[in-house]
Amino acid sequence: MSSNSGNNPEMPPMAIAALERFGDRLDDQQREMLIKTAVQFEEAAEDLRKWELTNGDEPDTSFKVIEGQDS
Amino acid sequence: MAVNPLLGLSISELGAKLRSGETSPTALARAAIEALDSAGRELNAVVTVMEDRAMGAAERAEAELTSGHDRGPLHGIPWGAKDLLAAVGAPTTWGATPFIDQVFDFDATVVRKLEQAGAVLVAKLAMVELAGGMGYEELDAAWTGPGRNPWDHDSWAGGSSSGSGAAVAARLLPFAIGSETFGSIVTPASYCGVSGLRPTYGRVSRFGAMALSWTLDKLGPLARSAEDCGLVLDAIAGPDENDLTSVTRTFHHPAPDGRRDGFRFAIPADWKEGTEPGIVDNIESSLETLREIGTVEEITLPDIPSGQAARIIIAAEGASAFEDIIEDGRVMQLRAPSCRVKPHVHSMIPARDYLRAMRVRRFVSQAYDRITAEYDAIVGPTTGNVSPLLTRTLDRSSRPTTSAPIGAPGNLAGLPAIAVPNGLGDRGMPTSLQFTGRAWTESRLLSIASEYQLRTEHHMAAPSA
Repeated sequence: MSSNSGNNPEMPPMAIAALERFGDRLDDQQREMLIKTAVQFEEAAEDLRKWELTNGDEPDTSFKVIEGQDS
Repeated sequence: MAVNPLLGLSISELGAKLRSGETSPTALARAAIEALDSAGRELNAVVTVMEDRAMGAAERAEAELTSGHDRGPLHGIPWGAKDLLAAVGAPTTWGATPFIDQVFDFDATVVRKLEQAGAVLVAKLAMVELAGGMGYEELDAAWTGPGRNPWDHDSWAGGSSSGSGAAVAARLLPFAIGSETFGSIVTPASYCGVSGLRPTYGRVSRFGAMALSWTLDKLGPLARSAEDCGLVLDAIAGPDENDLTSVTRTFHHPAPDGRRDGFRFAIPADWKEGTEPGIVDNIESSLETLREIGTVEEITLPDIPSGQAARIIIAAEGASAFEDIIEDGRVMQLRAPSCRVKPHVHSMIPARDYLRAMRVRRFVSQAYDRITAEYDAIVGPTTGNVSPLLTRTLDRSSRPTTSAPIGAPGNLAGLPAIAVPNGLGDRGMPTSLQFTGRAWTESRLLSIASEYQLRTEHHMAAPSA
């Protein structure tokens, strides 16, 4: 882990990963905002994890098979 | 410079004057060009005035009308495109410094369809950088500067279709096209006091429009009235082989069998929470009007974390759509300090979280399909507050507020909505009433909104700033 990611054990993994990859381009104030943003996304994800899902609950993706031409 | 008052008329009023010879497409285009270049610039509503293209199109429209070739209600009507729509003859900057010189050699499908309908594209209109998908907090988040509100130049026009809302509200254009991923049509419509229609996801092709969130992006009109929104949607709706999400369902305006009364409206029981008192008063007054054409019942909305799902989906899809500028560092050229930082987090959202959001989304879609099947529209305030002063910043807390509770689920489920002015609130700024309906029920929403506007005059109010 680079020095950009800091040593805060409470830091969300998203913040650690973002600082590892992009930290060199950010100043201290920006790093602070990045960590705050990551915390907010972690909270949002935590709220979603409280919603009970079963194995059969598929995502609302837009995948469609492309109809190929007959060979 | 005084703006030509003809630009403040509705599409049908202008159409009558065009056909009677009282005005002409070239006169209207010239008036719009002058208005946008003066008052439009003061509002930061304009990116590019397309004089050559506009006058060429206006001359063709004029020759056609003179020769008896009438393309319909939009023939000869000037309009503006949010600067995320590709159009030959002007840069398409997406509101963002990294794309300031970007030029496309083709027209977006909506631009092409409006040209086929005889409408005259006059300008590319300002927008929040990258349609707000980078999580902006600052209200000047556009390379063109803060979108100023015609009702008060120190207040915000709303986002992300800032220029579209401001130009229509200031009577510089009869209509404009905006886009909505989450609130970007209905919010500027609300703050600027115009009518704005968010069509059902898939109703309008997005080909040639900047992609922010493939599963949420929609295009729609902002105009003087619901009637005008219907006329524009009639021209731009329909399938497009270049956008696989566009559908073949037909849309015609006006609907041949449009109902005028007997509607069932639902209003969320907690709609007053977090809503400004002036907006509460205006909505209560609107409900009285709606009771003239139907019934209003309070309902409890399902407790699904819609706002959180929308936030994760938009951030993750946006980080993918703009992976190039995040990776190469051009994201640091964005104007808003928050937009230079947040995308780095967005690009690290785990696939697990994105997919969970998309799985929860299905519950949202199913729940709201059941609700909207029972009612003709869910009504409520479009926004819980009037346009903020430009010195304010947006609250991006992790959990959504209860005001305007239908925004997140409505967009997640791809439902249509129309926002219409319903009075003035705090600081004399416009307030707005929103109708959200079942998928593909734009005709019904337009009938309802038109009936409301027949009984009120809020949509006729013009700013004096």
